[in-house]
Amino acid sequence: MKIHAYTSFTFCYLNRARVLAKTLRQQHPDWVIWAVIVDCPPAGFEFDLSKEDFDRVITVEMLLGELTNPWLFGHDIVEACTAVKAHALQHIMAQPEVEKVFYFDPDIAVFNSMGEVVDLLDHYNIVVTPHQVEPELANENQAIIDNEICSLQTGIFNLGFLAVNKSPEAQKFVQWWADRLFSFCHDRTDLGLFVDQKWCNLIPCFFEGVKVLRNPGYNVASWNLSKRKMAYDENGQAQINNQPLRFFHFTKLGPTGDVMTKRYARDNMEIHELWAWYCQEVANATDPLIPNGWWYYGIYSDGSAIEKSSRVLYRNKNNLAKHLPQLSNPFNR
Amino acid sequence: MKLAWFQWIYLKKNLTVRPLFRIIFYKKNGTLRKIGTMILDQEPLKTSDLDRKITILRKLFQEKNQHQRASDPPPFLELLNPAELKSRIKIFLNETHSAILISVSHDDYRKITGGVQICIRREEQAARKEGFIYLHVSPLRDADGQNYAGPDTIVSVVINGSDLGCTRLSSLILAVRDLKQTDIQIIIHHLLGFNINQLSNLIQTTEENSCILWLHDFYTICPSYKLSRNDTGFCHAPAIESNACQLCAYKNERVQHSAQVQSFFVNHKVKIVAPSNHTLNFWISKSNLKPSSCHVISHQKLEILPRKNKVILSPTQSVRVAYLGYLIESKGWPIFQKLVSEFAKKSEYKFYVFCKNNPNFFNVNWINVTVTKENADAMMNEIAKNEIDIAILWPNWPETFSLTAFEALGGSAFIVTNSSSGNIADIIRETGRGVVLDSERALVDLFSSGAIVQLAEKRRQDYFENEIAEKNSSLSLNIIHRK
Repeated sequence: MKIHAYTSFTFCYLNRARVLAKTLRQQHPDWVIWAVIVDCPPAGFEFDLSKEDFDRVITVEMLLGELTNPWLFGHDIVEACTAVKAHALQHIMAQPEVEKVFYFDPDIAVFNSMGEVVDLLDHYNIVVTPHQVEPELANENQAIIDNEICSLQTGIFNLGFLAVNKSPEAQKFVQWWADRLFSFCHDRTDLGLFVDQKWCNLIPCFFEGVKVLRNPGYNVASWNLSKRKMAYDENGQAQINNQPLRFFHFTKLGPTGDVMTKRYARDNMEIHELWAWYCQEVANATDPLIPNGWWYYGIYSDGSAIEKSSRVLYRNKNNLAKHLPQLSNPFNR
Repeated sequence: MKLAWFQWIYLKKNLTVRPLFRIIFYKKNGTLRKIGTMILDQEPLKTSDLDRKITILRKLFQEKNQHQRASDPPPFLELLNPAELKSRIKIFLNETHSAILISVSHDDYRKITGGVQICIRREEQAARKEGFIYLHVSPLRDADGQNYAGPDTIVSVVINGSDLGCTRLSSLILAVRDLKQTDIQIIIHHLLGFNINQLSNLIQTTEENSCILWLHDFYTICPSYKLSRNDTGFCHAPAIESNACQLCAYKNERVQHSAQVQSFFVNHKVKIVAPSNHTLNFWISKSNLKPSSCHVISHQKLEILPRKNKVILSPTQSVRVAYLGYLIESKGWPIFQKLVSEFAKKSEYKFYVFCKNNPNFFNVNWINVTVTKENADAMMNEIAKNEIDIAILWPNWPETFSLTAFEALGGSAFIVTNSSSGNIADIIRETGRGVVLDSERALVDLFSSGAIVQLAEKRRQDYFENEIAEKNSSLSLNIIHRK
């Protein structure tokens, strides 16, 4: 049985992706780990697969061919990295040896075996994890706004994680997801869209064999920390509400992550230790040759930043490129 | 916090303290000034405390991941060569004093006051009484407490309590070898600061390729010798592969250190000496190391004798509760502060702190105590003089021995401790002089329910009937004899 896992990122997130790959490799040395890269390397930096914990690479060009430039121009960095997830999943599922595929966001680290989900995929086609599995208290308005209302806005399930088998039903889901994401993977909560994630509210309605994994040890993050307590057992295994910690989602590393973690982890020092560890791991995995905030597709060829409004205009007038061939390369490269 | 309106003035929206109020209320180390204690109703601000802890945590990870450049020894430092060393040692050798005990520890026991150092001092006296030359070796450190650069450790050598000089460990090994004495035995009180592989060469100078290794703490298991994961709490020494160890800032050091300790045990006959059964049992269960033999030698023993001259303590006196020693988290200082904040206003309780530096904590009576070579019983005597009923000993790790517990009992106080305090809990269970509690909650309940008053009454009754005598052990000399 071959299990494949992948993550999608640009080079400024390579440090986080490396931590994911390293921790996943420690738990599952036999898995095939893919890097889906929505970027081109900065001058002087070479992404050398032989020195990484990744086994294979998919570039956005491999997925979209000549549509790469015009399509990417219509998306900001978050939209682009999330939109390619479905196409990459199709690509991986098309490999003959693949039986089960896992997606992890690059800012996740895996701490214990994912074997339970591997087994679940013998009985279910799709496994997803909700942002929250327990309601906030009625008088905790801040938590209700930060967590529950945010989930209503951006999606019930956190698409930092997804697992599928290779059943026809799962393939049907991936095809539908890929179709939607190609045209509608936008950060437009005013229109009821939030990149790839909000679409997945429809998964339990549209597809059979969906497992909503409610175990608190999976996808632990600031949005559910108000209801999850971390501790270690006597053997040193990390536990969340007395269940083994499977993976932690270190969302918004930096001041925002710090504030939210402090707000909800409070004096649960084990969580703060985990963050301190992660910050250091990311620092250790950071390549100084990659400039801060690097994204090849974030700038025009003259180095000036591409405004989000220009991207929105471009994607809304999608026949522009047809009538003006010079706009098939809007980056001006 | 009673003054809720005040929070709006001094706290930001994210509940951290505004900079101006931080300056007014807090010291640089994050503890409240006296004025802060009074105005803020003695409640430490949890968010600020959390920020401090997070900052310390992140710094710890950074430090452990940085390559620390060791400093070169100062040019004026005179290092003895093997021949000079040999001739200086030889002055002490004669027909009656031909046996040498080489004692190894992390610092100069004459200059630092602590449990291990006091123990070495007593051992030196016992050894000399039995006709041994007591040669003590400790690593020389720079101003930052770091070893000097190079794999050949620079050590300070003390003979029978007097300075012999500084040298390289390799020079000492050559000098000892060249002495050609047959009766050389080695006692390791601590490995910290030594290149363990180099120390192996020293062990090989003994006829039996053996040494005694004391378990004053758990350095043989992890460089975080109190087994404190990320310096936040006791980790129970899990396997290196465990989450707790993998997510600890000491992990990389532990991996390297464990390999060295493992080969040390493989290459030499190591006799393990623990100061308590608890320590030995824990060590056996958690380390994979194979010693040649194991021994338990208590530093001190207590004798409870019927009191000859009966003394009645005033029954109306407030319950006197004390904190003993360094004001550090691992010894339970924050918990004691919490008790003071909650219960000091009640007339039934009076709180004391016995230590060297003024804790500057509201509602606490500070008793200035400095234990020295000349005044080794200072703590015990002050406890007795101040008629302390209860000593709160609340460490966050299992104490291997706890001299402080013996000082408390020697001063006729009872002890309140937690069930994870190692030998302290064992002593209380054995002597019945105090209580062992399961949680901080139970400690607070002990005060709020008044059960602590009954415990104090029990100790006063005991004081009327009994007195305590302490007997010092001769430490390693219990198992070392002249050949």
